[in-house]
Amino acid sequence: MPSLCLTLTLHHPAHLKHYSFFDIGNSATYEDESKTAEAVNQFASECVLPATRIVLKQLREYDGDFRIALSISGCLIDQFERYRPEVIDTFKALSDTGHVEFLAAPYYHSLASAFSIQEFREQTLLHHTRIQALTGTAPTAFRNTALIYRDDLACEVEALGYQVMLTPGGDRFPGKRNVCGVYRPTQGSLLKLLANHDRLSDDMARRFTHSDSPETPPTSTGFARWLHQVHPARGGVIPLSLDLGAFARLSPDDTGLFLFLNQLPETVLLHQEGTFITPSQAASPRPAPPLSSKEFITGENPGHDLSPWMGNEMQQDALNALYLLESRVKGCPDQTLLKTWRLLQVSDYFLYMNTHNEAFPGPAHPAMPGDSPYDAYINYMNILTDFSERIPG
Amino acid sequence: MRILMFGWEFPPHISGGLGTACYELTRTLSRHGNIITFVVPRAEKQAKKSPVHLVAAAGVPLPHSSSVEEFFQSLNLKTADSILRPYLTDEEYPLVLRDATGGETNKDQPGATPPTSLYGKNLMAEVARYSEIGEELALKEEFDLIHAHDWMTFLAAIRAKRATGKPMVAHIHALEYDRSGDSINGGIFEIEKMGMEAADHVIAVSHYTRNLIISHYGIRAEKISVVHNAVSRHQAPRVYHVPHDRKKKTVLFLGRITSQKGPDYFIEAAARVLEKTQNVMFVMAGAGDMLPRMIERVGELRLGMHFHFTGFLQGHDVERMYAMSDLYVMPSVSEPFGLSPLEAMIYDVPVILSKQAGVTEVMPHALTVDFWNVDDIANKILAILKYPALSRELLRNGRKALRSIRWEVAAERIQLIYNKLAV
Repeated sequence: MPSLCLTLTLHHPAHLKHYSFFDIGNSATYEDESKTAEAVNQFASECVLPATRIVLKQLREYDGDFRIALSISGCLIDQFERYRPEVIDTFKALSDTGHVEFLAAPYYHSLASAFSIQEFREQTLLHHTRIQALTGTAPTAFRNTALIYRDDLACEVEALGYQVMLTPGGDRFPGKRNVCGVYRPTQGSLLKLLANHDRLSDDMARRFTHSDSPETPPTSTGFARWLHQVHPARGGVIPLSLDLGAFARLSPDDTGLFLFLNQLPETVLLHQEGTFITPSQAASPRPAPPLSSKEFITGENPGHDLSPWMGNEMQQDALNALYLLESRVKGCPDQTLLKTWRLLQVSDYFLYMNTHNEAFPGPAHPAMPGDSPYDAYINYMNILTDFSERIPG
Repeated sequence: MRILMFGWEFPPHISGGLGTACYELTRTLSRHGNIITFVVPRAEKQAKKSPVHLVAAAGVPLPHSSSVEEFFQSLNLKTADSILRPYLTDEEYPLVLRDATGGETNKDQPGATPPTSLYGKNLMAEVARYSEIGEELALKEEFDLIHAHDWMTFLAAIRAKRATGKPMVAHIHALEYDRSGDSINGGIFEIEKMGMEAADHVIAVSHYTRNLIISHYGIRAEKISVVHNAVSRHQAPRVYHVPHDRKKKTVLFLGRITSQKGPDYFIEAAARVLEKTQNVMFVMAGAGDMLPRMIERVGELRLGMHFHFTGFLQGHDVERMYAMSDLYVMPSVSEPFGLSPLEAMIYDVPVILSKQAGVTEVMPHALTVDFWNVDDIANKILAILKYPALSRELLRNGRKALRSIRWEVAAERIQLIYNKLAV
């Protein structure tokens, strides 16, 4: 049984309001705050609070034998602070156990790494500062939005001072298969890459969220068995990401996740050599074979590339229009404009414009008004048009 | 299988989607080895070439035509006189009758003139008369199954079924509810209901229509199958090099100018759009009882400079109109299916559709609106005009989706229904 390096990821986009062409020039309010508040409250009550309380209890009980990492987007921290401060207290309590590693990330869960390195640095720094203020500890590991990776990003991440960067795994690196565990970028650097076990991560998400799956929900016993099968050799590391946001859409009485989290430490630790480690621990001296990708890869879609966010013309148009505003926004002293511009970078908005989604046609995501990816694009472009008209110069 | 099919129109003489749908369905069903006798009320000498045996009801001798009045009364159709056929109003009927019975186009072919005396005085009487012919034909023809398209043919199909005991399929292309909203004609409603009750199986052109049949006509859900209409490749465009002012965009409404099609919402939305941009031309193509009022309204709103009424368009003019357009808007109040948006997409024209249209079930790559939400229609028209990536993406995905919307698929579904009924 290898060491399990589990990261729970948390993110939730602000809900955009229905914004018509006729609102352009008349309204600078883009967010439907009551909807955001409602969704954040629901997310907190039905998912984040129960899940983190279970984890907290186990962390205390197993005192160092059980460890996890948390990757929380900056915008979600802001939302919790505003609408459910008790969640912030829970995060602090988790941090106080000393067994939770908080990861750095682009603050707004954005695609800045693919569009503007400068903005990517600034958002990472913002998030870094926020996490440090929250936990009292400076993060040493970095997780990009959707695990997006390219070789040059590794250089950036190292230059920003991180020791480890989480990356996709499996067959996502060109010419590689079954990538999982600790690696390093090809160019000589000290940064370690922690390649995700994509298939197991996908499996987990699927088994929790797809009721037609054979083992729904997965039991921690079954999970420990998989782990053992995946890496029977001693000393391996299995990095896994589990997106708590995906469970926000489950029905409140769906307790599979909680049951799973509750039993996880016991069942993993039962196995010989079964341990939990955090990303920074995993990266500490170990053999690290080289990994490289000259193109963008991601851990959160079967197509491997950025196409879920920028695979069609609407998405490309919206993203280009958004990032074209960078110099104008940053050339202006008004900090609220900068903040709004950043809020509009949340990657989810572009994902909703994806027309290849298997689930489409159907209602678009609740965070975007309208019935289709086309409506999502129209709404977003109306907002962006208004916003660009408000930037002086 | 031998099918006795009752229809009301067949290309090239069509007044709406029904004729096209019947043509395409008979064409593809024939390929499945079915032998179809298609009954239409009038002789159509220049009928479109098809493998179907076209029978004109006008040519069938009527031994007991005196019973028309009697039959008419037995149906208790009190208000039936006011509505003559799905697409025409009272005033228009005499014109149609004249055409069908040897108008100017037939001058050189006296043989093509059907005997005028065989026509009823009004269309409801013609419907009743057609039903008697249905029975006559049914007794003469050899067939395994009856398939009837829309209410005008249902009485004929019922009588054919009673006379022969053969199974009957009622195919709903449009309901009285779609045409007339809340002010429905009780007589037509009754015929529709009677036809669907008598039928062994009902085919609806959309889930939208199926739901109306269940909720408004009380027909059992298990008895109703949905077979969506389609659009065919041979309707693919000729290449039109239409002089096109790229700066000035053209937004098209094409259809009957009747309350069902929502032309008034189109005009109100246009007025809203013109508040924001002047580089746009609105075209309303078609004819109908609301046309004078619509012209008046455009005047009232002072939109004349940006509005064009083409009148009724046919054939190549329709194709040219699509080719000239940058956007097609269908704000129908109730649309059982709605073929024209698919045609527009064949001409690379993106579409805005009413959510109350069955075609949205097969075409997710369209913008949809509530027909009454004029601001939203305007918002979406403006989005198409201002964000070119939107049209490109709609068309790119729409073209892919169109490939699977084929009449062959519809025929296969219908064949399965036939096979179940005619055992």
